[in-house]
Amino acid sequence: MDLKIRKHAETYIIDVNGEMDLYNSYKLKELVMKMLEKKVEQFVINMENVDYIDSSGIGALIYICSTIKKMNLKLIISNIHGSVKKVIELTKLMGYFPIAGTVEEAIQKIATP
Amino acid sequence: MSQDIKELVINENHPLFDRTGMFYKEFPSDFRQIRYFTLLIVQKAPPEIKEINLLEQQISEIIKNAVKHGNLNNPEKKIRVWYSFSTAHAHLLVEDEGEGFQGIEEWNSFNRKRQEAFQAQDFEDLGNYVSYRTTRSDEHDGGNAMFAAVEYWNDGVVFNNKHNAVAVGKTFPQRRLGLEIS
Amino acid sequence: MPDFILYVINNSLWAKGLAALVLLVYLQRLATKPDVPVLSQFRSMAFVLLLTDLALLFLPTYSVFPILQGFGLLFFYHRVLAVYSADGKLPAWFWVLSVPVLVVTVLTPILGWPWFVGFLGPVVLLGMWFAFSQKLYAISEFNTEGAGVIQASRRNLIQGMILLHGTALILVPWGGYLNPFVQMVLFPLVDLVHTWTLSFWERFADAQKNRHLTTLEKNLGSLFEFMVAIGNAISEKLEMDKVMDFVVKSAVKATNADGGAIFLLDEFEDVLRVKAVEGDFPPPYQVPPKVKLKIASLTEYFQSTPIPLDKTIVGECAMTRKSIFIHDTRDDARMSQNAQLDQIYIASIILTPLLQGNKVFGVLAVVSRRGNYLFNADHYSQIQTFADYTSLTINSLFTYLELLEKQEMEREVGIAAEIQGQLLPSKLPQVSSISLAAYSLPAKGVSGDYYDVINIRRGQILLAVCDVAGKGIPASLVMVMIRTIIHLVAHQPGMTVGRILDVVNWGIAGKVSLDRFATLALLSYDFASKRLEYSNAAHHPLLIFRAADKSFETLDTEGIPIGLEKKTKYNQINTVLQPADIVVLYTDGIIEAMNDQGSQYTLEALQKVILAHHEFPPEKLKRAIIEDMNGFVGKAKQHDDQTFLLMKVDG
Repeated sequence: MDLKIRKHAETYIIDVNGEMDLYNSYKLKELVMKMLEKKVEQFVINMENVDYIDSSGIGALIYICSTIKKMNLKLIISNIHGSVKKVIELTKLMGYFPIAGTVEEAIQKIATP
Repeated sequence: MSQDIKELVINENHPLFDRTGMFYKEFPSDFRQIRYFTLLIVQKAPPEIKEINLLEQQISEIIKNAVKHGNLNNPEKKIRVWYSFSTAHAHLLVEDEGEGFQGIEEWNSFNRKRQEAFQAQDFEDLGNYVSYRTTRSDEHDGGNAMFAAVEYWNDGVVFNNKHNAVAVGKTFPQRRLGLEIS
Repeated sequence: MPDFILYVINNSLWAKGLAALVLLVYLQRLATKPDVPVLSQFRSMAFVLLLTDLALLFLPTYSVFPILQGFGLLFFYHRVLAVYSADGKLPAWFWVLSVPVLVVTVLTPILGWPWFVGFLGPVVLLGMWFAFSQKLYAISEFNTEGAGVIQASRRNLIQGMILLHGTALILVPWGGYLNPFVQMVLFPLVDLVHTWTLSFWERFADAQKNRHLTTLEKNLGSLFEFMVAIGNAISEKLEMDKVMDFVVKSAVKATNADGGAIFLLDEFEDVLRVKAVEGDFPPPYQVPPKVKLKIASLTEYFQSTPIPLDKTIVGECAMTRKSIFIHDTRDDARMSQNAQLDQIYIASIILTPLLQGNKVFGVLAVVSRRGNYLFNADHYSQIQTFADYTSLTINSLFTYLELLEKQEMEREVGIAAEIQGQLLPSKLPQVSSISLAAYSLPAKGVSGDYYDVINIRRGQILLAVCDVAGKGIPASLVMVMIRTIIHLVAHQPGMTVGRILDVVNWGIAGKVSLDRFATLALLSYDFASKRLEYSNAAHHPLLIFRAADKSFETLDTEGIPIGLEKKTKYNQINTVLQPADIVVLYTDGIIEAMNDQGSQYTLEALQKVILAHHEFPPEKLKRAIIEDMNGFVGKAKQHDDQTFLLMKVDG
């Protein structure tokens, strides 16, 4: 799995590429924590190129989500599809995660208070 | 629209523990090879039931639990796996050499509360139940594998009396081949 | 023995002793590098030096020993050169001149012809050293691996020789051989200069070895990126043109070429057509006078004109199915027009055929248009690798596109089988002293097994059996990668089976996401010594039937499957085979073949069949095994690929 960061105005978009599994999900966690230390306040996690996620990956997303919520910052997860979507549905977390269909939608949602 | 609240069952005599006709493999509890073992098992499944990689992912969670929590990642310990697949069913049985999953009842009541929060669409409350953690969980454990498992394995998630073997099954809906127009 | 010591001091032999010590120390250092190719020659050279040094201490014939030493050293220098040069033999005149001269030299003190020894001997010797230095410049630049070492070190060799012989030529006529000052300078100088030249050779051999490794790593790195991109291209958009553009771009990038092109054989006519071009690729042939020598017209002419198979260097490459490597177009008459005319100037060109089985379907070529950048052996091997992989991929792609026109659900299954089919050896090599048989039956639609038999070099063979986890196209592509890497590295010197596994694993692990794990077993066998080396990554142990006591033994090594962790190192285990011994490599599908009752065939049953039929040649034994296994399985469906390889030592 590899992670790329890009910026759109004040929003940082993390493009996740590959599989989020028990061996590498911690990398996303670590990255977001680092970005929080650098005072990033608006996050979009783009799952367009993620086609596999397991409980560790979901756990990482949960951790990131709750940390950001506690700090009153903004996060949206976008482009969930295929089996990733199915797993999140099975875990009944579709309502829990802040979700958008595309990165553009996510950016818009973050912009509107 | 209340659904049945799924739970973990303890019943050694459950039909899911019947091993006739199943393939068998055993593996050393090497954490690094969890996905590899999973691949070896799931390659026997017909493509129709794989749902891209959902079947593989669900199986990998069970293997991981047995390797990591059951056998504590000790490669000297084995996990024993029975498995069989058809276009309509998936059946898996995994046994480890550990002490067994201790908190089955606690888990069930935790899950019940989680389900209630979900049904009430109370996402604030749901936030308290997104991850089930015990003293043996570490930061890499998501704590959510079993929530998906009880939903996915619709024939049941059943433990033996010692709680160190779990049997799961899934029945897949069959597609009709199209309507005949007379 | 104070007298002896005085003797040594008075005769300046202490200086020689010191120099000899330096040589000894150097040799010790060399001993820690077992893979310097000519170490044994260096040792023999040093032995000659030291022996004559010792002789100098005790025998008064100062004049004979330096000459003997000179000839001895020349002999070993030639031997070292022979290791690196293409023909590997000492020149005939060497024997013709040296033997009589030596005989006379030895006899002279006995028969008393001092003027001869003092004059003719050294002259002949000098002449032979001169001829030797000429030979250094005759080594062709690109047809042997070691030639690079010779090129890099010859200046130092010449300098060393000039220093040594020059000093001798000045000092000896001046003071005579018996002059203590002359001796004090010359004697240690011999040892020191030879140590110095040896160390240059060693250093360059070392650097070359390291460069080799770095090149190998870089090669694998770029090959791997290439494979992943092709894999992605195939799974996303199956456009042949895109894939070929990508291939030619990668080939150009990897060799830092100025241009590249792919030519494909036309389906109906015997002509080659330009299918993809990258960069600056002028027509590598004589352009008819009517075509204007302007870039636009040349490009148009080149890309639209088919090349008949019997014309031009491109046609030659396709017809002969051999790669053509023209390091410098000035040296090759076929490229004379490109060497001379600016507009179609090509400095260096590599062409390689794209093959499917033994049919050629195209040519890949790269050119350099810079006079100071000529392709070398590394570029050449890189293009070979690209061509190898490209051929496999383009074939797989063609097959895929064909089958795409047919059924949906079954296509993945059929294609994987097709791809796998193309990877397996079409027939097993016929070699003396062993016989081989192979069997592989994929289960319905699944193709996870790959096996191969490679002739590494004369008298050494490599057997491989591989079981990729996961099935279908992604697994087949992983198999293609594994096979390409094995073929790329198996021939390199120093590649033991353990090292090959390390490299294959390194190449596969870490990047590709799906279905990238496999078990792999490698066996290398040397016919002369009957030594077998086995290494395996989580595969079944090797089964050996010992004819002597009709018993079975297994060889196994520890190791996780390949593709899991990049830096895994694999061990190997070895044994010696005896005549009539049988070696069996197999996959899960054989041992786990199931009958209707759900029982498995098991290793014991396999052993039983082998024991019962061990006197048969492998082909017959193979049929006996298949019959027995099918008899056991009965009507039950085959659920896994079944593969096994048999090797029997003759005798």
